[in-house]
Amino acid sequence: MEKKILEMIAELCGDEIVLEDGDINLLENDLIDSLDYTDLLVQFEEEFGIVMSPSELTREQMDTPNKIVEQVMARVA
Amino acid sequence: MNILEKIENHGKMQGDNIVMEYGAEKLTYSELWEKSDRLAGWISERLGDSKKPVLVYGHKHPMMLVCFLACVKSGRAYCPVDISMPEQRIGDIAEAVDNDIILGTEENTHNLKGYVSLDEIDRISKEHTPVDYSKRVSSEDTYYIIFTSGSTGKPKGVEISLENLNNFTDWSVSLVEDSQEGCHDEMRDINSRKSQLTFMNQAPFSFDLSVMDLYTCLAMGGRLYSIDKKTQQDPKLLMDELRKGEINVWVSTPSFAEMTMANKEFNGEEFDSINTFLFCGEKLGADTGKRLQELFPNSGIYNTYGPTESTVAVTGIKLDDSLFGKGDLPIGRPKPGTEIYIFTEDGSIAKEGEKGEIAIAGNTVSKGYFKNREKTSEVFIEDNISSFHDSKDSDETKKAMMYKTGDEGYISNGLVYCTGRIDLQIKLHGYRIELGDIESNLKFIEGISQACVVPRRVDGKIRNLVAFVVETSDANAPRKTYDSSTAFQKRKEIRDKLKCQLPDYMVPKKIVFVDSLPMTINGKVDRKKLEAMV
Repeated sequence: MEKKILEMIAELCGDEIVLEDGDINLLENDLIDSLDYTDLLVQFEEEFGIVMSPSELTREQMDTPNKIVEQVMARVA
Repeated sequence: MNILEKIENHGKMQGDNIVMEYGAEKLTYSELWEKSDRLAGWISERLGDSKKPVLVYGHKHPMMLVCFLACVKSGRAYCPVDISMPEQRIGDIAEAVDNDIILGTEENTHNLKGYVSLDEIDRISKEHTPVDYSKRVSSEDTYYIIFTSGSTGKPKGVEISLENLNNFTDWSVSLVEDSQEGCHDEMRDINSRKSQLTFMNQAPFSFDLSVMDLYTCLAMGGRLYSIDKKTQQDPKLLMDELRKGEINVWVSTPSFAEMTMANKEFNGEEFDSINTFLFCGEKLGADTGKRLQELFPNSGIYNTYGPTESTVAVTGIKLDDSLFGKGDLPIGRPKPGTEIYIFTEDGSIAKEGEKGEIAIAGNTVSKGYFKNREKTSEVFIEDNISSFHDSKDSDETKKAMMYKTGDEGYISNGLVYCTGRIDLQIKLHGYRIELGDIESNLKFIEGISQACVVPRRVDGKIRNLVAFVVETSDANAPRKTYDSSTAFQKRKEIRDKLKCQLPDYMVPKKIVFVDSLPMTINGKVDRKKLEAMV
């Protein structure tokens, strides 16, 4: 599942680097923008049935692939 | 000039000279003239009073020229269709042309009705009674029809008259003459050894760029050296063929030259016969122009511009150092007999330097689209402003027309600049973005030779931009591959550099490295294909 999440992020960012470097800062490296975040949350909802509202998370909690994985895993569990 | 009289004259004066060469096939000027006379006689007899245009299907066989001339000698326009066109499109064109016969110099793979094969054409053009010269197309008659892709799917046939072609050829010949004058002494020595100039034919005859090589060549009594599709796709074959051709005048799309320039042996020392480059059909990047100038310091390089609707090209400029380092290259000055206007969105004429839609008035503007009044009236408007509209020497019953190109540009110091297609302007998150602008900036980055930016759409709405880039490389070197972290660094570098030049919203989100950009059958970058890839 972790792999699946990372693949979804990679697809959205259009860069495979997120599969290699889980701690890369997505915002600082322009890999993701606010529209992408919204997209991503919608995709998580469709794929895993978890509801994540954009407002309940700060950007800092979601700014690396690993952090995003962590957030999603916590909700699925 | 009258192009037909010119060719007739070459047929008499230098009849044994080769007019076209393709592989082992050769055709002389006298053969061209005589065979087309006979074939025209047959067409006249076969079609009688019907003056419907004739579809000519094929690729680079010299008999194509015989067919073209035969049609116009019989008083009918010809409509060239290349073998590389998709079947559906060929069908659409055949339907629009609606003639009982189709002349073909290749196998009839699409089972076209009324197909006259090469064998038959060969026989007819040897045996039939020649045509009466009174049957020839007159200056206002349509000389050729070239179909261009319509945004709605169905191709539109642009009608070009003999007069249009004559006016264009007057100018295109002057460009080549200008270039021969300007040649380095050394180069002139090479030329003087031969009485005939050799023109390269790259474009298929169904693409009007080919009119630039074919008719400039015919007007000047030159030799047309054709390079077929298969050879164009194989760098090794291509280089061999270019060497063998001993070409003097290179006519191609910029993309084709860029592709050739990837071979390091392509330079003025190895290819010392090439003294002129004529570019048309798409944007010539400043970097490509500069690089070519460095590779061929003794050659005249001309950037020209024009839509099919105004006979190949209407502006041109010879490149020199003063044009480099200032951003985009100009497309030049209007040719004699042409005026260029820039219209702003509200329909007024743009001020100096102000961007707007390029409109063309003058003696090469087409009469419109074949059997398509609706499309014609959308883009061909009555010309009330140019100095030609009240010209007394032209036929007064005929209204002068102006063609709205759909290209965006501006005029500065008498030079016209084309900044892109109006329809290549997209809106992203409310910002108006010119994709060509991003592409130019990408190409200015060191290490990038070609770039194409396309929008990525989600549910039909533009979501972000994707840039496809080709890195400068040696064609003989192995292809570069990156592990994902290097690729990321390279992308980041490109994006960072773009950010220094462009607002953030114009920096493509995704950058994809490719070995080459896909091309359309006309040798332009295939944007649709790229868009489908994102």
